[in-house]
Amino acid sequence: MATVSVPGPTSESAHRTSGRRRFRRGGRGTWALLLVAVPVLAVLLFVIFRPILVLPRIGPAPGFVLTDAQGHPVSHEDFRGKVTVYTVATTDCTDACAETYALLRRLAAQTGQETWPAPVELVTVYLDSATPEQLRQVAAQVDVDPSRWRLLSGDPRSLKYLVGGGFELYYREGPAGRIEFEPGLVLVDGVGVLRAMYRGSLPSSQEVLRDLETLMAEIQNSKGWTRYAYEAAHLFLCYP
Amino acid sequence: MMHVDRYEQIWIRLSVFVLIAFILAVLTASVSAGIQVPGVVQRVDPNTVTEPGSPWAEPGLRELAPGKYEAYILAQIWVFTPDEIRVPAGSEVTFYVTSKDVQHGFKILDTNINMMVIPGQVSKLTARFDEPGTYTMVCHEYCGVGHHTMYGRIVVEPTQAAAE
Repeated sequence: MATVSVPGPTSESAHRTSGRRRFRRGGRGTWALLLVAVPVLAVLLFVIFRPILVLPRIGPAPGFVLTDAQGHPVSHEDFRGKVTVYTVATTDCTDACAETYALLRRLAAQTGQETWPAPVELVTVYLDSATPEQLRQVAAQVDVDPSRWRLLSGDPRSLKYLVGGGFELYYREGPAGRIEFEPGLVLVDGVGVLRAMYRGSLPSSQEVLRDLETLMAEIQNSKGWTRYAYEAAHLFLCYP
Repeated sequence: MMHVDRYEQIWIRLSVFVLIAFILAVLTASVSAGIQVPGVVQRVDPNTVTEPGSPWAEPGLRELAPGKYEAYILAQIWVFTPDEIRVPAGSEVTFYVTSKDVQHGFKILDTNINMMVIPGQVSKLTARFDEPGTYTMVCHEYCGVGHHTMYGRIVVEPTQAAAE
C-alpha cells in the first residue's frame, strides 16, 4: 500500500536547502562543462576552418658543404635567414633539366618582384660531381643570375648524403655511368627546417609560389601573441 | 536540476575517464614513443600506377643513402610485390604502399608498420631495423579467398662489422 507523506514546515525548509545545494552543485558542473567544452569547440573550429595556414615542419634540413661555380665552398649555414628552393640536375641532362630551368627562371622572375620578409634563394645541386668549370658552362648556357641562383656540386658521398639521405630524392648511376634521377624540389626555411618536398616530379610555379607565400606570411605574422596561434596551427596540422 | 541516477552517474564518469585515458595514451605514445600515424601522402590512379614513370612500375627497394632506403610495394590479390626485401641491420626504411585492386592491409610483425592499403592512395610509414632476422609482412585486411596467402618477408642481414 502506497503511503503519501505531506511535508511539514520543517521538511519543506530542508527540501529547499537541499535544492539550493543541488543548484550550487549543478552550477559548478555547468561551469566545469563549459570550461572543457569551450576550448574543445574552439579547437574544433580552428581545425575545421583553418584560419591560419602553415607549411609543415617536416624535419631539420641536412647539413652540407659543396662547391659553387667559382670554386668556393658553400655550406647550409650560408643560407641561414633565407628561404631556399633546392632542385637537382646533372650537367649533361637535357629534357628533365630544361623543365627544371624553366621553373627556376619563372620563380626567379616572380620572387624578385615580391617584397617579402625573407629573401628567396634558388639552388641547383648537380649530381654528377661537376667541376666549377662545368658549373660555369651550365650557368652561361641557362643564363643564371648568380645573385639569385646558385649552382653547387661536390663529391659523390656528400651529394648522396645531402640529396638522397636529406632530401630523400632518389638517384643512381646508370649502366653507362650517367646519373639517372627523378626531378624534385625542396623548400627550406631560414632556420634550416624542411618545409616542402616535391618528389618524383616537379610542381608548377604556382604551387611553389603558393607555398612561398604561406611561408612568408608565417615569417611576417608569427610574432608576439599571434606566434601562439601559428604554433597551434602547427600542432593541429597532420604532417605527412 | 535534472536528477541523474547514482549508477548512471558512475557510468558517465567512468566513460569520460576512459575517453580521457585513451586521449592521454595516444598523445603520450605519439610524442614520447614516436609512434607515427599512417597517413595518405599521395593519390595515384590504380589503373596507371604500374605504367612506366611510376615508382611502382618497378616496385622494390631503393637506396637513398647509406643506411637509408625507400621501399615501393604494390599490393594486389593476393601478393605483395616484391615479397622479399633484404636490408642490412641498422637500416631505416620508408615504405610507400599502394593497392592495384581492392583494399589490403600491410603489417610488418615486431615493428611499428601497420597500415591500410587503399586503391588510389599511397600509405607511408618508416621503420628502423636494428636487429638482424626475418620480419614477416602480412596483409591483415580480409581481401578475398586467397587472403591468407598474402605475405612476404623483410630479411635484415647482419652488417659485416657485426658479423666479425
